[in-house]
Amino acid sequence: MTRRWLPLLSRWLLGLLFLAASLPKLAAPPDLALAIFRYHLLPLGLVNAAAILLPWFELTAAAALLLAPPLRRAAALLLLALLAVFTAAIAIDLHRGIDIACGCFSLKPGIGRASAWSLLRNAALMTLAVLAAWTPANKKPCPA
Amino acid sequence: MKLILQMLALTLAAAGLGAAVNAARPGGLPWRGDWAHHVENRAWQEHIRLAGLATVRAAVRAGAPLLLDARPAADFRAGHLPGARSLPFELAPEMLASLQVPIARDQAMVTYCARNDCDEGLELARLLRQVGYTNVLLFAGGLGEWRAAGGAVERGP
Repeated sequence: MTRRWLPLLSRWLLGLLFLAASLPKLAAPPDLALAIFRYHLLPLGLVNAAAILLPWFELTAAAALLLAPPLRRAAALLLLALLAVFTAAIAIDLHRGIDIACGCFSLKPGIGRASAWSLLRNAALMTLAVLAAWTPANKKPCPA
Repeated sequence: MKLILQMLALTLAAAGLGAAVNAARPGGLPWRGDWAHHVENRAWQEHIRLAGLATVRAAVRAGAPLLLDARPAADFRAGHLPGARSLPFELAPEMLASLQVPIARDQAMVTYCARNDCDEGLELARLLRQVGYTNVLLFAGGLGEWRAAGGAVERGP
């Protein structure tokens, strides 16, 4: 029973979360560009390109996870890769002592400061992504 | 192999959508922004530490670090961060020279100006470091970011 509902629940949770995360970024690319720039990790020439494309990666993968069963596993793994990149970026900047907004779910000033809590949350989301990518129904039946 | 192709297809679809919407959107973002001249990048290049909103909020609450408003005095009177002191960049050298009570060289200070497209805050931070202050931070978002975050503003001298 658990094997059936756990991936389903994970897919819905992760899909809806990324859908929600992509919307403020889609609405305000300049604010997202500033948030990305403030991480001081990307070459400056790539900051705007990342701001243009990143929310669409999130939205497309979230939509595929929720609505396109044949693409669910690929979508979950894509979100896992995105989460790994975000987590690494936050960890590097925390290590460097840079005081920045996460820019994860909101781009409003003063909301969502990057912290150890952001890392824990991302670890939980990565677990969800792994569970969402796990598709027991597609597994070959075990030999008796 | 199929999985990798599906991931690639999703990535390309997302990139295509992003590029198309950005091209169609009025005022779409240019693919290459002029971040090299952005005030925060200049501060970063000069190893001037940046203060975020959390640091500034703490400074407003605790009265430390020292908040220094680098804008002209008239702008300061019209509205400034609570507890900030006015030190207009243009007048800073004379004002620092004429201090009755000298400020300790290791005193923590945060400079700021109007928004993240002004550079008086950066110039003041640079000047303070040049004259020997060792613990200077720049709040690059300035009063604009403070207001946008719902921060209260003090008026008057």
